[in-house]
Amino acid sequence: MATQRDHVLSYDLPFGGASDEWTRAGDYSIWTRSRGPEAAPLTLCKRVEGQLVEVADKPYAMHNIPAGTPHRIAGLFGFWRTSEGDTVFLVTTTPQGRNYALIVNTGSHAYKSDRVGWFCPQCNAAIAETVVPTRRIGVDGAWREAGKLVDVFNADAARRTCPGCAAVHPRVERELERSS
Amino acid sequence: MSFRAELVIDEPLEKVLDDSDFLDERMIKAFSTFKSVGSNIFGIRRRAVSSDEIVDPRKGNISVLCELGPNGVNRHQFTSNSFHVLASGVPHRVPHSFGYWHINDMEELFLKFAGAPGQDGYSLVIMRRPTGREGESFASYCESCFTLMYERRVATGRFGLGEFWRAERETVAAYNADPKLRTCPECGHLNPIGYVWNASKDTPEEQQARTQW
Repeated sequence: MATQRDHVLSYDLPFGGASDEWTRAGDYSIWTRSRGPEAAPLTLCKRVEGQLVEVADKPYAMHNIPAGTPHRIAGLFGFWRTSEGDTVFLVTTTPQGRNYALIVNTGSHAYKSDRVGWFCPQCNAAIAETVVPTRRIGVDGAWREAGKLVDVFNADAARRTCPGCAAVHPRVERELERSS
Repeated sequence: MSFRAELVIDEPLEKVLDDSDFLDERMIKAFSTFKSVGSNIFGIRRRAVSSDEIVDPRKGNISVLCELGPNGVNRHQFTSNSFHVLASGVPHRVPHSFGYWHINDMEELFLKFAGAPGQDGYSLVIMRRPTGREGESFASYCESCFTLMYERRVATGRFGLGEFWRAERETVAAYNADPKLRTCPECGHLNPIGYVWNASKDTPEEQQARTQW
């Protein structure tokens, strides 16, 4: 354990592993997880100019998700996250399966909040959106808040009903691995 | 409607970065030094990465990160599949990779991992893009007593990455040209010459120094 007399020059975090926790690492918050070869791949989905883009799965990939881009990781979390910070999605392959990481740049001065929401599967309209104060509660706190919002969304069909076309959004995954 | 992203680079690089896989062979060269994308700076290189060794084809073994603290040099051994987070302000160098101490206002995030069987692995460096008065320094500490002998600061927050590489070359050249700069004012030790990160820029003397420290 570090004491006040210790000078922390650097530290290590495993890439992969079994924890679902976010780790604050200076300017970054990092989530990382290993999944066995039998597990379905996690898929990055983005909304670009209103269109859904599902990024092809590859054994090694690194994608920058620019601030302001609605995105979700299919198989990991069932809400659309639109962040004021840039996020990196990293995939690597080992003999034991895949390692995944989300790396969120929280050091950017412009990054104060994330938006959590959903879009109508029929007409693409936004049907619910909540601003989460990530600067104040951290990325780990923001993810917990998103999980609560998923519960509220799932519990009430009225909240999942598109105000424009009346289509009902299906229930969604809760958060990270706990839902799958 | 959904569609799968395909990478066809027939546009300027800056236009396709947001939709691209940075590890794709057609993209990775853009990150072979460092590239600023949004609020981050990325360095991505293909290297021979095993569980206990990182090897650069030109520089040799670059598995150790030296970090200078109040108690001297901490030699961190890079291992694959481990994020290494270097605190801001810590002088550091990778022997055989760059022959000076780098001091960064930003934290640096390192990650090495093996590639597909029979192929090179990946070496990543990620840091926040500096803004305003933020920047970094090239420094020389006496290898015998760790006295700070020479330091040049670069305002990369104002002038960008281009300034970093120009200043690096100038700093190393000036340091190497003057034995007084390399002589410790405290203990009198004459320190070896430095070398820049890009090995293709080495003079014969710098190439020799790169093999030694």
